[in-house]
Amino acid sequence: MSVPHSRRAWLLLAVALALPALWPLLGPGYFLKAHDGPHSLFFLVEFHRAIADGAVVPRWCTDQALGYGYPTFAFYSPLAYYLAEGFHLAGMDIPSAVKATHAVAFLLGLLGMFRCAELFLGPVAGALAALAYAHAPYRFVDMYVRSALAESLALGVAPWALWAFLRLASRPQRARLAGAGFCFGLLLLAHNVTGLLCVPVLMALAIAGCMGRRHGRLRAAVWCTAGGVLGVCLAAMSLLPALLERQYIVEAQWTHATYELERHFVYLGQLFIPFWGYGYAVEGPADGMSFQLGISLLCLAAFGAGAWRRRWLKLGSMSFFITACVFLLLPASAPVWGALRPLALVQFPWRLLGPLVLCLALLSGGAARAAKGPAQAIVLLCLPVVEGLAYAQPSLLLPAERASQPVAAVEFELEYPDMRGMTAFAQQYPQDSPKVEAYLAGEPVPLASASVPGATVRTLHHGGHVQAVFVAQPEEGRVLFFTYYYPGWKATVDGRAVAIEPWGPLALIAVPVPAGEHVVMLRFGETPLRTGADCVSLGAGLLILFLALPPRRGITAEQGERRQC
Amino acid sequence: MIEARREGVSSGWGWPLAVALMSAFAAAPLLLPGYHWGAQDARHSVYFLLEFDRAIRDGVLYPRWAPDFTFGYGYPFFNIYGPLSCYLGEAFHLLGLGLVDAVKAVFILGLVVGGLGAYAWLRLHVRQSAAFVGALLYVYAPYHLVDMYVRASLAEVVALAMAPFCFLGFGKLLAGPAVEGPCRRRWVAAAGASYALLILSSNVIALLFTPVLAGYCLALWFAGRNRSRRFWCQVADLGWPAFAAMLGLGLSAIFWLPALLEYRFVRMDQWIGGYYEYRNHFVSPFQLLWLRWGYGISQPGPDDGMSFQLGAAPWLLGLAGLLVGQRAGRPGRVLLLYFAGVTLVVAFLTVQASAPIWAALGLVRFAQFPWRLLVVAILSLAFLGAHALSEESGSLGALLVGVLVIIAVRPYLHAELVPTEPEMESLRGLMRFQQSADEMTGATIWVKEVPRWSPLADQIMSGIEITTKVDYVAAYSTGRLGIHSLAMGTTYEKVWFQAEDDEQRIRFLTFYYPGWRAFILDEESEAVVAEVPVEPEGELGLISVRVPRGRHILLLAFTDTPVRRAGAALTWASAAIWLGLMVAPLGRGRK
Repeated sequence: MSVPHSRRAWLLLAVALALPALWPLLGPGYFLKAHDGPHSLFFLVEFHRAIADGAVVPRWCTDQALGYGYPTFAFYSPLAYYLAEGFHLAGMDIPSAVKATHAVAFLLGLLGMFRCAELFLGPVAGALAALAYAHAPYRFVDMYVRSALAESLALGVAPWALWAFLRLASRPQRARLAGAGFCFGLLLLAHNVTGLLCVPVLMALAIAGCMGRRHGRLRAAVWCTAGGVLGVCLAAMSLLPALLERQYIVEAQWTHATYELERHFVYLGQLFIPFWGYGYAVEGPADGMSFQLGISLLCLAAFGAGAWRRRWLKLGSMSFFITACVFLLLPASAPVWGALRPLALVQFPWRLLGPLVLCLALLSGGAARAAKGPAQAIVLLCLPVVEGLAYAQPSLLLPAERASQPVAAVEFELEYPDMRGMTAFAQQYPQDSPKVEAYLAGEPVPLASASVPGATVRTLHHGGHVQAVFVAQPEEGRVLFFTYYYPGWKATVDGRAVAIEPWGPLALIAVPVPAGEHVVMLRFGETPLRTGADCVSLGAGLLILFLALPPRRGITAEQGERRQC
Repeated sequence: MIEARREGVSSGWGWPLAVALMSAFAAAPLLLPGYHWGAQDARHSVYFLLEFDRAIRDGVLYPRWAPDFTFGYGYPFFNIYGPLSCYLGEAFHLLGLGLVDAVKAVFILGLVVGGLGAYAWLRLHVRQSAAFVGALLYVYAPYHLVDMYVRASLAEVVALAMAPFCFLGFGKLLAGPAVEGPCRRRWVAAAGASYALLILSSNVIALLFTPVLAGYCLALWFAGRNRSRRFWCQVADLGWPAFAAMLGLGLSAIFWLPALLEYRFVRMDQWIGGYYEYRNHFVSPFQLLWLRWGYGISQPGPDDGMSFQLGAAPWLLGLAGLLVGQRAGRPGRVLLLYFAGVTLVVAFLTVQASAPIWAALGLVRFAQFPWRLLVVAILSLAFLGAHALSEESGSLGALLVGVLVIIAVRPYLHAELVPTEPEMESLRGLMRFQQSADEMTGATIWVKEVPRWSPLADQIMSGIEITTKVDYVAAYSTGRLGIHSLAMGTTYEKVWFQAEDDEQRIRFLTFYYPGWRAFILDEESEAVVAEVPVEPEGELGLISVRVPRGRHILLLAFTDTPVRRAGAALTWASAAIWLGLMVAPLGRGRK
């Protein structure tokens, strides 16, 4: 008996089987004890405050660094927070918006992998690959152990990028070019590091796709390259500042000590041992979190590889990529990582588990070929679900109201002082700030102080990108804002632009203010670099729209004659 | 005769490769740095290899004496303990691995080879996909994992690797008309060699498996015999397996003959009484099905720290196999009933109700702990479980079942690893272990009181290399004997002495045991002048040698006794026969 190939039915079945993994997201609690659990909440709080101040592209997190602020979103990919902000603006509270984004990431990955595997092996293989990908243990690590919102979304988008490039390689077309550029751009906007780590597998499979054509291989390769460039351009608004403004922060804070790459290699056995935990990755093999690839994923991939035999180029590419990934996870690969210093931004070699799981899931779809009937196919689909559900269990906690307030960032940094960011202009590490007491007491936060004795400073507005104070001082003096100086800050006094300068060991913003009563406003805007990057992204977006539109058909000679008549 | 599987023992490499690859999950915990030092016999395995390595590097190709056990007094450990696991570990060690890594490598090798052996054996009876499931049931049987990660019993893991090959070899001899002529000779050789390897890996496990193997042969013969032939001709078919068994015994005689006839020279009360009293280690029936897991030890009563479960997947699939397999032909049904019976008997012999049988048959000498019989259930349940797959389930069904078998034991795939410090792999680590755990402190029957420490141990702990075991304190007590040790190895010591009369004795801080001999050598030429008797002396039964007057060299050496020489000779003779069977030309065979 053959398996019926009703595409919609298998897709719906895959979604139905995957939904139980999302059950924990429907509960009232939030996994605050996840590694980045608090981050995901207060990053969204900061993002929302910036959006509320009219920033189309949020860059500044005003409450971080004990209230001195930090350019988090100048370096951190924003797509996940755009999505979460959308949910928040639609009425969800902060924790629910974050959980909804996790759910979207999960379902996106499921659907994307379905499309990928279906391209070559049919809808049953698509459903199997989708479930294998969605239930890979590392996906649940990202969701329930780490609550790594950006990475989770990136792994949801990655299969779409793969699908788009595979389609583009098979038949270069305008719309497919737009799709490839769009998906790749979204991947980079979701999490730039994951996007970077996915580039080799995207390239390898795209090249395999081009080489598999009988004609026009070079042409297909050019189109794929164009798709990659288009995607990079789309993500320029995030990528360019992240790459070119690194000198304005103390990058070593995020690449040294606990973030040192050499401390986070994985041992071979850890890829197979079905261990589960909610702790942290530590140096050595006693990690508190799991790095397993999954019993069913590995077995299905090994079994399903045979179905890819006829597509030996793609099979070879995936096999090579899997081997390379596994090697780069191991301590023996330390010299390779050391030779490529920019890779230090990856922070954790085990991030390679994301693209590795992507490849394995694609291979695992091949196992569906062995199903002799719908019953067998359904049982096969249940296999990754049965194993994965054991890991779809976060440690739920009911969040305190404060976890969704600006004070959450401050409380987090008081508990973990090493998480307080510094700009490159500051000469000392922030031990305290005049804002902390007010944050903790829930009172209005003082934004600035005046250097003139007898002057008064009153807060008018404390937003994500805009701060305004009313200053009354008997003589000309300096108003010192409790905000880090950083390129992009502009000040006005009563609406007139004035120059600012970094002041003191923390390089806070000092604004010269004449005597009298004045409204002093700080607004964080774009630098020429960021403006240029935004324009590149906008241009890429418009180009993608243009390419995606169906081409206007030219008037044929016959139609022209009929018109004349 | 049973109809041979048309595909042969194993056609194609895909399924065996799948077995090997899917065994990776079971071996994965040992792929991490560190070692499960806290497992019951984990340290033993490392120190066994330490002693074995010292002997091998000393040029003793078949070690029998462990010179550093019992605080340096020595013990004839390898005379009574199957050496195969040590030879395998030594091979890895000589290739460059540390002692701990070599032991881990043997564990992993044993696991994977056991799975492949189970697959090859089961292919005699079922199709490839079913044999695949049976092999995974064998690898992932909970007691197999207990042997790996709770007991760390290296010898048992190696024995479990050899056992399926035994059943394969003997089963092939009774498999049908395809095995004739030169092909049969080679299978006889293979069966004999596999049986020898089983004995050499663990005499206890070999003794447990032997009756099961014999029963398997009888069941195969009974189910597949051609009743149209004369009865004696039918019985003659059992001649080949019998010959293979004899060959196996011959090949391994270098080990079991001395072990059998010379074990009476070591104190057995240390390994039978006290904690090892078998009556304290019966299993409660519910424990055979209870899915609890632990890394503790077996205790009197039902609250053991370790698991004795048969495993949910093995017994469920075994039951299913027994039912589904009834559709098979008569030979298949006979074997299914046989292994079902074996499983039930094994289960019975692990529980308290079987105590009278243990007492009557003296089984304690073979198994030591009743739950050790669970090793047999691993094999029998794998056989039954392999029959659970129907013809219609195909390769996909086998994959699904195989993955579920692994998932079912997912929580057990864990070793309590501890980082290995260099000292742990040294003699100091051995001394410390012997003192703290009172383990590896075996004594010979001449030892009245088992020592708790020794001057040699003091030296080792002080970082001083042991260059002599001469008891100088006793030697100089008379004032009429001068001694100087010239050389010492793991099984000998050469001592120069000057005795002023014939009443002087040289005492060695070494337990007396048959095989120790003393020779007087000429001082100049070192030619053997005479042999002098070696006697046990004192509470510790240490070696004492009366030496003649004058200046001479005394050579004390651990040599082979007549029993050991007989065992070695039997082994060499059997090896010659084995070689003859293997290299006999492929001439015209009886069709």
